[in-house]
Amino acid sequence: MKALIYDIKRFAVHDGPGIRTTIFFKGCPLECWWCHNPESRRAEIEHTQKINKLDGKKFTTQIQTGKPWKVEDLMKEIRKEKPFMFESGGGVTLSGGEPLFYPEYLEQVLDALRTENIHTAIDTSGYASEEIFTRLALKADLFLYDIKHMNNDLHKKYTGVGNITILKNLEFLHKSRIPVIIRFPLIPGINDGSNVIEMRNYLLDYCPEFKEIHILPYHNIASHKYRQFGIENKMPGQTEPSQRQINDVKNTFMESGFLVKIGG
Amino acid sequence: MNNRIKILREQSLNAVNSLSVERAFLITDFYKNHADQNDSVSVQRAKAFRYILLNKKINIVGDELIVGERGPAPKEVPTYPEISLHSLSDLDILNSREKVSYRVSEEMRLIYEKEIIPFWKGNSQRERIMIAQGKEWHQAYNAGIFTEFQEQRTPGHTVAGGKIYQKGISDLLSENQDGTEDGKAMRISGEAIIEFAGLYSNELRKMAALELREWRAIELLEMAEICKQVPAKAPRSFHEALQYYWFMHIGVLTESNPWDSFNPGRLDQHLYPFYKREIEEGKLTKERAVEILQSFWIKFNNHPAPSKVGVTAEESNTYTDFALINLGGLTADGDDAVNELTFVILDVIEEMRLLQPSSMIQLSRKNPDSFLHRTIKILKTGFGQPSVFNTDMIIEELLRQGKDIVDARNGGASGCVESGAFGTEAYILTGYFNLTKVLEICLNNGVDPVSKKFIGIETGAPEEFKSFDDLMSAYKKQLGYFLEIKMEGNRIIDQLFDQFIPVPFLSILIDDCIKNGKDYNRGGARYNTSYIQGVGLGSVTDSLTAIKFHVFDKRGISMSGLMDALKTNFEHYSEFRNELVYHTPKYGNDDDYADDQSLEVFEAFFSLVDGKQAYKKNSVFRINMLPTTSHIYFGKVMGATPDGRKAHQPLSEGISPSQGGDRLGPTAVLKSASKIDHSKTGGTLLNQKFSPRFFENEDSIQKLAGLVRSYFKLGGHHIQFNVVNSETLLDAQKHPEKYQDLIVRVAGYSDYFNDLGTDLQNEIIRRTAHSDE
Repeated sequence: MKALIYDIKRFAVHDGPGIRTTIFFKGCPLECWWCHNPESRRAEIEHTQKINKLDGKKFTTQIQTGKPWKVEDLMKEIRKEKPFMFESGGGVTLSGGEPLFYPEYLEQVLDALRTENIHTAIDTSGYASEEIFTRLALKADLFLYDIKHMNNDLHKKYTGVGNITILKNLEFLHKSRIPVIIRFPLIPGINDGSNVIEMRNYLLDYCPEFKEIHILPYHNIASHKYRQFGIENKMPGQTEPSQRQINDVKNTFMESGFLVKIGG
Repeated sequence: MNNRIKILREQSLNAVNSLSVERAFLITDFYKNHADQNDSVSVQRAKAFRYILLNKKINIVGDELIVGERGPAPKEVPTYPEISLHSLSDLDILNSREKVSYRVSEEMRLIYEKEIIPFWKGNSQRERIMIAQGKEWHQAYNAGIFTEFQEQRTPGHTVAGGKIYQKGISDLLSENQDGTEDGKAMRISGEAIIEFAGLYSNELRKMAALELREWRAIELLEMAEICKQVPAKAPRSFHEALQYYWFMHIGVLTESNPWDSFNPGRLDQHLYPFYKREIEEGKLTKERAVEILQSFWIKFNNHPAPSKVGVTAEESNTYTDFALINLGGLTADGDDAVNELTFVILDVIEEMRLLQPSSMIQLSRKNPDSFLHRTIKILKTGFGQPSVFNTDMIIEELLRQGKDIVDARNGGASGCVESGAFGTEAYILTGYFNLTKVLEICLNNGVDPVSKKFIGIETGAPEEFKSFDDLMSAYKKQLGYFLEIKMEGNRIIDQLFDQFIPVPFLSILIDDCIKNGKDYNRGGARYNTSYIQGVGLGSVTDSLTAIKFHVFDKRGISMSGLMDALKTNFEHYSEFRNELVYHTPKYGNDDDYADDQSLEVFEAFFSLVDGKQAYKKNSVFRINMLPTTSHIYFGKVMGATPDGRKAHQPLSEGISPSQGGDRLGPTAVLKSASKIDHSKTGGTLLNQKFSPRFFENEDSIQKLAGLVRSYFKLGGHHIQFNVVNSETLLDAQKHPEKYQDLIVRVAGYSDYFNDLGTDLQNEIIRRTAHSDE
């Protein structure tokens, strides 16, 4: 069995505890306006061009984004980092794209990792059917779980899907006592302001045990990738949040007893 | 830091580096007018040492707590005409050059012209060495195959052990074998240093009588007492222990100019018994201990390295004299040696922020994480200290060489990264060896393409190699040929040091010279080792890998095509160069396709050197892997290389990947670097750069600690971190005036960014930019 993977990042230090290897799956059911890795969106191999300069000359290189990986080959790659994972309390983070987009494959990888005692984290939007989600959730050690917007309509507008399934799956994790770190991409004018209060109140009411939240301030770093992959950038001129705004959001959560980190 | 230390620190930082004629004048005066020709060479050297000490200027700086200078004043550096004689033009260059200059007075120039040069011309050790070497040696040396440490400085490179904290010089001399000439010389030298301390004691007493501030008058009297007690007798207090060591330091550096600067080694271990007892008895406060340590730190900073002659600023030219304080590690019993004083000294390092002494931590798996975390917090401030060493590996290296377990545990690293048994070993660094240049010679069938001279052996035209193995076997033949020349050269040099430059004072400090009645330079030490330092592992690995990949496996270019590309410095081969730079497997990415070549070169280098007989009967050659700054010089003497490096660009340094060659981050680098067996070396150097942004998150300290621990579990010897961003460095290049205190990690040591040559600055900027990404 194979899945499309477009990057394997070693020494990933912002995707969960310790030193991790992050596996980026290619393919995502969401189309977030602020997506900073649009190359992960389509579940297909893509060929683009990259230009690099050397001695004042430009060279064009064909780049292939996405490669089918067999589980055993992926495990071989992951094993290279074992000394660092075990020493630092790290492990593997399955990210994307959307890792839950490949449920059977993901299940095999999670089983293989568990057999080798490697800590696993799933970095997800939470958008998956109840049947798939509940089966896979019990096989992971940690979830990095995005909450993008509390309003179902706005969620649908900005990501292409509503948030009902997502929140239901989150509540399942809470009920099953699976550790979760909430990740909140902060995008000025889209999900700041009252949405932050609403989200805090929701978490306090429905998932009171989830006390760690990472705020990921929007960075305008992906515009060249939108061009490269021929994907429409729906928010070109979007401003980045100010340090002050970030701190305000941070305080909102801290005051309610959350452990807050900026960035991963 | 308190006001007294602040003033001393400022004075030290602002003092102008200059040359002092004092020592040259005194040693010339001695050999001209006072030497007894009937005395043995050792006894003459000992008497010369005494003559210098008793006639040099006594100087007590400000309100310092540790006394004694090598020159007449801070940052006034003596010269050693009997070892390497500065010409008038050397003096003029040193006086006027932009980087790492030393002011030379008109008076000194005149004395050199009239007295020093006429007396020593033809009789300096450097001249003897150059005359004694054969044609092959000179050809290889001039081509930049290797450098020679001993041509300007004496074989020192050793570190004080623990015995001076238990015994006075008088006690040590009571074990002396006066039956030998070397033994007699040791006695004269030992008694001389006691007399020298007596002069300081008298001067301090006189100053106390004239001192108006009561507290300082009392302090001066205490210091006068200290100089009466040590080094004659065993130290009784923390303050006496440090003053004792400092007299030893001055003694060793007055006697000769050894590589690298002598140093106290395991300082926290040596001082802790004094610290603990006095704190418990209420005789010492932590504040006072810190003040004395800080004063001690400033003394090191007052002593820039002796200036070189003849050579350019490329090869290891710096004010840094490579004294490396070791902290932590294991006790003689093999237990965790970290104590409360270890942390006090780490505080001192962070607060003093001085170039010298350099500092490192020895990290054993038995040491607590708090020790490593504290160190990383200092590293985060970005001045490159302390570096981090794997004690468990150092011990394994020393044991492999046949050393006793207790001697191994009492050892550590000195200079840049060099393992040694402190207080019991003469470990001589003989020079850097250009592993990549040997490939260049090999690809030209014995000819150096830069000078067009035939300097190697014929191993066949590369176009005729049928397989990659043919190339490797030709490379190994060339390697063996040049290593033999290097080793033979060092046997000759060691013999000249045996004959002309015994070091009786240093011999007192290194066991078992006293017991054997034999000088340090004559095999008196318990262990004797001569190291050759391999340079350019990353570059030679990538070059060989590129040939394997493009010529033999992919067959995308013929060997003659490749040779043409190299000859023309890639002038019409920019597309091919793009392939080499961006699309060819490289060392540092945990990819066996490339790393296999690093292993093969390393193993060949090791087996051609390790265990070979050196000059002294009880001495053998061994290898280590460190460059200091020689990778710049070694790159300068080379044309383009198959890894895509253009002519005259720097080589890779230490066992780090080629600049920009690592693309998968630090864990992949560490995996590649740990594939070679570090226990077969006497030290390896690995440089990792981090942008300050990495440290913004508190978790990063934990993660970096995990990175270090993992590398050490994989068998790594040493790792150092540079934490600075390229914008800062670029700005510093433009406005050096704004960055006079900017210290960066170079290679095994830190230096002021402003003092680095432009090439080296550029290289550091390039590497740093890479880590910003």
